[in-house]
Amino acid sequence: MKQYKNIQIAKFLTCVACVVIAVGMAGCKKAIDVGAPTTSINTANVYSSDGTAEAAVSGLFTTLAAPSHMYNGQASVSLQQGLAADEFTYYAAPSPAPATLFYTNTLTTQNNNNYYWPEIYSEIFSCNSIIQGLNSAVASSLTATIKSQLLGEVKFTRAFIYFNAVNLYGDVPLVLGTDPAINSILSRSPAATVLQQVVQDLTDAQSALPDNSYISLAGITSTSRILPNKQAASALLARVYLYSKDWKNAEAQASNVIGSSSYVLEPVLTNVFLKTSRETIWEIQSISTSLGNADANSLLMIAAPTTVANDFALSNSLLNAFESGDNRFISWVGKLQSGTTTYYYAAKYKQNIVASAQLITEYPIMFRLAEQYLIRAEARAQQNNLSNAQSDLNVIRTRAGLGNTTAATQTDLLNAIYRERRIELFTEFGHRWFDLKRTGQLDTVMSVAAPLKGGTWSSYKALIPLPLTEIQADSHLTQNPGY
Amino acid sequence: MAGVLTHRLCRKILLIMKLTTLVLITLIMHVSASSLAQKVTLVEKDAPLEDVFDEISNQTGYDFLFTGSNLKFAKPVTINVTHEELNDVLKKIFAGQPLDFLIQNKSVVIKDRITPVLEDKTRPAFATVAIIGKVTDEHGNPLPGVTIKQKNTSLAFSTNAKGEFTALVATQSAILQFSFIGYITQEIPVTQLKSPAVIVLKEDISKLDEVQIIAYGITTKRANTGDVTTVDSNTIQKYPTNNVLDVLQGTVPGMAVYKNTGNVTSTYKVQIRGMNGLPGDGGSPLYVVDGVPFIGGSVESLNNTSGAKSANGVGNQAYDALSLINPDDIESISVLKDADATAIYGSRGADGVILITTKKGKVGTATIDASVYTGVTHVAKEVPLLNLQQYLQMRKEAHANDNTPINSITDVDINGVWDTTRSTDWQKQLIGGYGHNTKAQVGISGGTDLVQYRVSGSYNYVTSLEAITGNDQTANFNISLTSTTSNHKFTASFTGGYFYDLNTMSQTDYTYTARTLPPDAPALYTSTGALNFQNNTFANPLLAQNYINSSPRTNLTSNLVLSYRPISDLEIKLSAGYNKQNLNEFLGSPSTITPPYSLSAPISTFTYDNSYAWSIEPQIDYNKQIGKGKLLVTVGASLQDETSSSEALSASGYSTDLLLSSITAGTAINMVFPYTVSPNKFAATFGRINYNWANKYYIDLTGRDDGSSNFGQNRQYHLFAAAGAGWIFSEEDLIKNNLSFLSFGKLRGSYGTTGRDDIAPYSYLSTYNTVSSQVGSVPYGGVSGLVPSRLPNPDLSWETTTKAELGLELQFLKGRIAFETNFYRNRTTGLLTGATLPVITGFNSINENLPATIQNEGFDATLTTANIRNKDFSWSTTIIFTHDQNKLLKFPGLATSPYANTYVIGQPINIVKAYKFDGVNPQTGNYQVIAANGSVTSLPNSITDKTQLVNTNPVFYGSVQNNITYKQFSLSFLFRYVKQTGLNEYGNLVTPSGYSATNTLPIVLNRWQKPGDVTNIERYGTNFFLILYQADLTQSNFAYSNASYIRLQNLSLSYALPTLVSQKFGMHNLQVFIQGDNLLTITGYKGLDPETQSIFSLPPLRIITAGLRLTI
Repeated sequence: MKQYKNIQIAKFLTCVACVVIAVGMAGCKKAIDVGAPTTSINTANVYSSDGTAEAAVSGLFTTLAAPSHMYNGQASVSLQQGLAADEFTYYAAPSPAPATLFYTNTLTTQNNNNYYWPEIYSEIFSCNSIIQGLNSAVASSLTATIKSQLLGEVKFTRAFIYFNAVNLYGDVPLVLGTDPAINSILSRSPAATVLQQVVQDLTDAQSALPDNSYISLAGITSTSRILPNKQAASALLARVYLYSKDWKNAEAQASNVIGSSSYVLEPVLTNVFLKTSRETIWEIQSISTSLGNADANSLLMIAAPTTVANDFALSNSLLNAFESGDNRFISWVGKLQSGTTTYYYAAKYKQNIVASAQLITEYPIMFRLAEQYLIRAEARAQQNNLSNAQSDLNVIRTRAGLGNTTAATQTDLLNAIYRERRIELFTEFGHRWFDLKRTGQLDTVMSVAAPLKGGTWSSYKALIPLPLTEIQADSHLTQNPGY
Repeated sequence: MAGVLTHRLCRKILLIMKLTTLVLITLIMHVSASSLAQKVTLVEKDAPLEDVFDEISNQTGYDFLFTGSNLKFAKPVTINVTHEELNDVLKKIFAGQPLDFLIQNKSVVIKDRITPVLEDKTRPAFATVAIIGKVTDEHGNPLPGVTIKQKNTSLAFSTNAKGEFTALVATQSAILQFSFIGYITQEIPVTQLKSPAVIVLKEDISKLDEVQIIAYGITTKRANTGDVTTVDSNTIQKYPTNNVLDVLQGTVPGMAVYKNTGNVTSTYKVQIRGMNGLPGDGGSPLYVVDGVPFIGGSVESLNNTSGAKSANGVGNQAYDALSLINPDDIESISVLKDADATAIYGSRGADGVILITTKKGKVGTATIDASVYTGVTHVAKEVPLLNLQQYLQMRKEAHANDNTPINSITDVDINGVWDTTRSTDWQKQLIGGYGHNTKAQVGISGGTDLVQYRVSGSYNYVTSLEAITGNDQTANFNISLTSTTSNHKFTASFTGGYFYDLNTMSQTDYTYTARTLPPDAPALYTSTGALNFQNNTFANPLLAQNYINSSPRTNLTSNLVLSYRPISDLEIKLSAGYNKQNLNEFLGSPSTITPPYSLSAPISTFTYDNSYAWSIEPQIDYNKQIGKGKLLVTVGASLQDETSSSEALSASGYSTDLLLSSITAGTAINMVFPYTVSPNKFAATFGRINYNWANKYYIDLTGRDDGSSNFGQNRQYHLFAAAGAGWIFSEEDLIKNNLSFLSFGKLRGSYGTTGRDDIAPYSYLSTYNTVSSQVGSVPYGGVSGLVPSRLPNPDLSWETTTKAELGLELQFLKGRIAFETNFYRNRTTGLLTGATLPVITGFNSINENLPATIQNEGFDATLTTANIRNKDFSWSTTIIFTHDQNKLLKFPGLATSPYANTYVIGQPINIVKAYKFDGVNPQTGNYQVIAANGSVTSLPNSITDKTQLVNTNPVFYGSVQNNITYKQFSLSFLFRYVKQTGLNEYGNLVTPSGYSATNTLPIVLNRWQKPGDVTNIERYGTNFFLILYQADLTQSNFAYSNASYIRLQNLSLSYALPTLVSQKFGMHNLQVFIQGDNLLTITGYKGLDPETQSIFSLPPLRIITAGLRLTI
């Protein structure tokens, strides 16, 4: 009934239509530009400022620190390889859970493969991505010292991960880039090649990392030992050379650490595993608000074990290996009396669940001084430097309240050092398992231990199997023999 | 420039809306002023004629009908009369005016005075002849809303609610066209019409010339070269549902719709022409509501009863987006299937397109249509379970078999703590109840030639049949306005709606509990009516009533179409729309959800899910008659933005249950899933050329150059195109003259490509994310971390589906028998997926285009017969049949790819791999299977030993529908049928019999009992390994068998009161009806339901409602 000014509107509409079509056709590229993602950061931008580059490295360590990963808690190397060796008597219902498979030495190519491997390579990818980023053109805007330190930390981490991978799996694919087209068809590199890369990374790290001091990600000198420094790189190198039977270098690297002013053996045994321990060379910060070292949550026994409770008691063979009067048996072993039975459990870390992060007093320790003494003792003994070897060993024994070693021949001394390692480093990072392997005692020990745990032993089990899904996904990968 | 443009556009839109609203309000007031007075008192001086009309109308209730141009030359009126007859007053007013009037039917029709003046070119020669009349159907019922058009002009009129009309035409030589949906259009020269005229329209049973909505336009069944099935509101209103997908289940050939659960918010699996992509990678059709893309599919939620998450049934936590559209507001649904119909949607047409058109206003006085119904829902079937005796025997035998003592504390069902003489039918107790379902809706529509409006609203209330608290309520409001300038050149139409759904049903599905609770479990209530915990030994399932759920969802839809026709052959259109959906879910788990003997800390979760889509689509249509040929060209562009974001947080540490709904009242807030935002933008130009020669030969070319933000710089654009052709061979003289029984025959074919870009945004880009640790965990070294988030793939590109189709449409005996069949073959390549990678690459997958090809091949057929047609009785039948075969055609390098054990060339892409079942070991009583190497084992390798292939896709499906009317009664019922293989009752045995306090199916009675027994059911036992062995059965070929069914899906019986009776109530039409859904299932399937095949969730419910529908 009312008249519209339709002509004007029509003209206007035509204009709109034409403009929109024109814009639509010409500006199509722009039209579908959704901008940069807002819940993530373009990789190139990560390495254009100190803050984000530091965040990337922090992200890497956060992954390492996650509970139930390799270094902390239920699925940690310390628990699983401890189970695989002869450190525990494990009370758990039969199940296909990894812990049981490790304990009974019944890993197969097919059963549960959700341990280690995916984590190793996800972290390796992060390392490679960060190294690539820090070396890219955009990284020129980073502060040189920060960039250098970050590079050192990541190379150290990559070396640490690859070293563990080689010890667990033998030959592993050596991934050094991020291109899936290349990486998805890699085959396994000989362990020796991987170890060469490990040594290379650690040598680089030594020169890039702060010497004898700890500098936080933000570049501030710190007392916290949650980031690796030059001594951490030396400590790992000492371990790498020891495993490679390069005694001379092992001794040299261990000496680097022992000679450094930052580290002393904590005289009080109960202080050794505190996060403030001066013995610690590198520890991983807990990112949990309730657990320091999540291993403790599994290891500390709060009630008598039942078949369904998944309890870790120390094995009889380990308990029997303690000499009488060893203060470590008092300070680091827990006892639980149930009726007439006494259960002994690992109590190096004593803190279970706490109410808040501020109350956490312990962090998982990756490297500590005591190991360096034992490395040097062994390296010296192997080089027939018996008296110095004895004195290194005695440092550890003295702290434990034991008398000096009586071993006088090279063989006896080496055996004494092996036994000392078993006691000093029990339930820590699978040292027992790796020591048995590298010293050639694995078959002898395990053929006794495995039946006690309800399994059987074959020497192929020295290496764990690759996940079947990996072999299916990359036809160039081969399974470890025997599986 | 763009800003200014938008601003101007907004202002213009506002202006148009204001005007439209004004006109609408005037109109409603005008119409409602219906006094019967015919005496008029007027005192006016130099008043505009229009004002005078308004005044008279106010006094008399008479409408004045005129066109704007009528009054252009009117003179001001000066008059002074008191209480005079209307006719006399009008005579005075019109004296000296260049106009004349005619009183008809309570209307005053204004027309130009016929004067032999010089022809005025500026003024269209309108309204020289007035014709009044009435339009009815063959039974004499008036037809409201019939369009009466003067041929070859844009002049149009319409019948009112009584079927009456007044048409004003320019010349005696004019021809009037009477057209109405579902009826054969009649053309009558004005000279042959007496005034008043009675026009009888014949029902068009051929449906050939009904308008069909297609992509960016309309066509007719006759002219369509594509494959489109249309479902109209008459069908929709037969279903007592709040999700229109229920209607499409069975009514569309080539389209499979399955409900995932019987819960009211259930999601659906929707497949048009089979599964085009990989299982789990999307695959839902594109939904378009009134031209605006609607974010269909599922909305992620944490409510675990609400239905499956993805279109293909993965997960169990989602709402269906389409339940946010009120089916009563839908005028029609077009399902586009072949390349010709879908290629113009380019990147998003691969899985078919569903166009939903909402109801619009119709010309005529205000018509109110309203309906209300109420009814009940319940579970149609109870599964037989072990009775008390059998159950106790099973539990005791299990303990005896494995020599385990009955635990005096934990085995309460058999250790004497519970009364073992008491038996309860838990299915009846927990899921045997009735839910209620009530719905009311009202729509008001009307308008004139120039303005039409429709306003509607509805309210729906649903309760659960389960013993839980809460309900689901929905309310919606819709408005549609269309206005046209008097010269019919410019049209603006606006549709808007708001939908609100509040679900407060607690997050519990008792289906599994009802099946597994031991028959001797204690009573739910004590004698005092409190929940019974049987001396703290019974975790009463009704505790779940204490869960709190408040899940409001909203949906805003709006759409504006501006159209301008500078010349009659050319239309310039701009369509813009906005759709926003929102979920704001609060789930509370108070301390009272556990029995009093155990403690639980109160915790609550908050899920926010928001999505919006806007689109702007300018379009130009040009059509031109060239001799016998007709050319129709459409070009347009499309800009779209679809963005969704979601996050879920949980809060704990509440001091009291009463504060659970406040997230800040918790002392610790943790992330359940992180904040994600997925922006998607699309830009496209599209076009269509349609040429029709002599209504016999049709050719249709479509194309779309489509761009998506989901792909990297160099792969963002892709051209999709299709060609279709049709040949109406029944128009050929040879056939016309010799095969007269063949009233219509069309052969059509199409070929083309469509695509899919269904992949997460930024997949091409290398990015770092914040460490996905829980909120509140400690940053490493005080620096919050970043980690690489994905492997980038800069080569990511479109998944393309090439569709080929051949269709044949035949009608015999003037449409009494109609037959249509379509043969099709769709091939999809470059499958977008998270392709499996070895994790040595850092990730276990990368988004990429798999080089495989999937083929869907099949045919559908529809036969519609009008069996009986006479004045009082009519009966028609529609039979639909669909067969689809899905097959992995090619997969280069499959054997060495990570998919070697998943896909099989030549088999459906979703093939199920199963063990070869070997019964029960006669010595040990444990299940065993035949491994890949031929050996018999109880612990097979779940990847390599699954040697059997099970195809769970339907072999064929379809429906048989009958519509019967007898006098005032009308009955319609639809049987749906599916032939398929599915998970059977053996596959439902998920726990070992007797292992725990869990009831089970009577098939276990046939278990192994002693060495030497040969049977298919494992021994009862309590050994842990039995749990591992159970997979030997449930993942074997023995767990799959025939799950075919025939279901009486829908029945609708209505009775329309005779017109005379309805009119006594002041109504034009009054109907009472009974409707039922899922009434009867004929199947050999032994489980709960052959459609969902689930033991964990409610089966599709039986719904019976009764109600009435009226038109005023």
